[in-house]
Amino acid sequence: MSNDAPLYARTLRNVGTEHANAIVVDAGLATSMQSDLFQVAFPERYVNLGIAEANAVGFASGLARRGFRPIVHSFSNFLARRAHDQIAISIALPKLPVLLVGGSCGVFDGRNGPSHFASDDLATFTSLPGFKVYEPADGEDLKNAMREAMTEDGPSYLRLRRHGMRTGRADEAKGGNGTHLVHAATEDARVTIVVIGNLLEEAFTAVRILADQDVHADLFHVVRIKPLAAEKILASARRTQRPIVIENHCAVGGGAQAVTVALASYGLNVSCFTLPDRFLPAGDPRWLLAQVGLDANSLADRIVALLHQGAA
Amino acid sequence: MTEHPRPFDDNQALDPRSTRLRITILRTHAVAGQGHLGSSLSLVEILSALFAEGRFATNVTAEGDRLVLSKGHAALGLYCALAEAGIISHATLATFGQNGSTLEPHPNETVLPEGSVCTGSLGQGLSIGLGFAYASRLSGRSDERTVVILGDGELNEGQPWEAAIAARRLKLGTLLAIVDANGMQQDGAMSDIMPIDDLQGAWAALGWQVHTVDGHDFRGLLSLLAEIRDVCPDTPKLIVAQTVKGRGVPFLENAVDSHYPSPLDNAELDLIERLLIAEMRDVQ
Repeated sequence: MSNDAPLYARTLRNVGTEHANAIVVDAGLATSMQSDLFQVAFPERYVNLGIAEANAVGFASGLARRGFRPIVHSFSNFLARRAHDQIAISIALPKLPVLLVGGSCGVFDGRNGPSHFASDDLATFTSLPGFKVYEPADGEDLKNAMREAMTEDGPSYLRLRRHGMRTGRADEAKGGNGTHLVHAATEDARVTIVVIGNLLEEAFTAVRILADQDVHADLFHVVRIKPLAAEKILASARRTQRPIVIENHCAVGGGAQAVTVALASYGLNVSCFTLPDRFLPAGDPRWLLAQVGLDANSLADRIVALLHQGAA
Repeated sequence: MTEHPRPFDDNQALDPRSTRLRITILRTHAVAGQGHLGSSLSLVEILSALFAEGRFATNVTAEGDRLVLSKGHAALGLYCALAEAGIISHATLATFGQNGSTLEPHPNETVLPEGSVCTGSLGQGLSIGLGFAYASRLSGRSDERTVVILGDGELNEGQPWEAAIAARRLKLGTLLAIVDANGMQQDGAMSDIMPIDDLQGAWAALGWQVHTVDGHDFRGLLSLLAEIRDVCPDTPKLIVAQTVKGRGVPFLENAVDSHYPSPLDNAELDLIERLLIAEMRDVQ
């Protein structure tokens, strides 16, 4: 039965099995956050505190000081925006091992409009000292990110795509967190493409479209945005002199900025294909991706245009 | 909302520990040249009574009661109480107000683990207390009490009310909230800024067991703390401690300026100290 359950629900229950001190704290969005399998399996380690994110964060703060590993659920904006001060002072400052899971991520949760559309959540977490920040693209990424977050010291934020995430590997990427080389150019790479988190499939398709046009690219996938593992990206970008970052987040404070900063000290200018600096209309993911030029076809077109621009 | 007691009413049972703590606060503030004096002075008997119980855990993993100073700006009072209780040294206390001191203006457990958890942004402490109390239950340590000290002004924030609702839902009977009800907030009297007309009634309606006491009656506080410790294990407790901001310094009592006043000079300190000691002797 549970194999038909949503990916996150199964992963979360497995975390409960692996970590006897894991305790899930919901903030009135349990049915959205797929907590049911965990709740059934570990009722004594499950609390739903209702629609009160600040209190949920503080509650987790107390638990974490007493040896528990709380996992706090809400939609990304309601953690990142509403509970930011609590996360800063009650979680980040005392360096507590709390995993915050934000269940919305840019275009994939755009149906509910700007209140729910998380476009700046990564910025609020990457800017807090000591936070590890993850954006998995598939089930393997998710499992690895949660395993790391639940075993290492300090707080973590995981930006979750609740619906439509592939269970297994979305590509040929290897395990582990950090940054993966998911595609090496078969011929001399002209561009170094870095895709952050959940846009991996779009980027991967774009790379195939580009290859058909004889434009070859190295493609890197970043799962852990902070701390960023930039070494492989740097080596490729030094060869191509043309690094591009693709991200389902605004240009400020997310992975695009992290890569830009990491490469800037080596004199490399990064082109960022991110969400625009405006609130977006409500819509489904495919429509929104096209609106913001982050679907595979648009990405391929933009990259070709960029190369032509550089050649002119 | 509160009829404040006059300073040193005859029926006030003063205690030498409280008088000594009040003098330590005044002298530490004078040396540091900074600190939230008024709030620290209104907390004196509350802190004295809590530390007189002597049941606080000595570190994060140890068994024992937990203390959260949610009104973190009263850290000066807490640090002085820690020194008087021998938990930190007076030499450490003397660093208060110095650059890089572990005694920060608001509690920071990463540099002073013996004090409160990190607070300073008001409204966050009761939720942390919920987590402590729930952890005690999960760990089979239901004899541990979690004490959260809040200011009445702090209750302008929404988060303590979220926590109050949840505490009842979770049946956290080992959770004790103490409101230092001095009737003042930074900008003036609560009655002029943002009053709460019936704090006791409101929290009783949320399912809390509510007690109102004279927050400068050391012995009354001490006996109440003992009396409500093991009763009604499913019901969180609230003590509304009616206090006077700036208590003990006549020209600071109930004064807006008491929130962050200039330090007393030596002549003022000596005079106040003599007055405090004389009052204590008179009562005894």
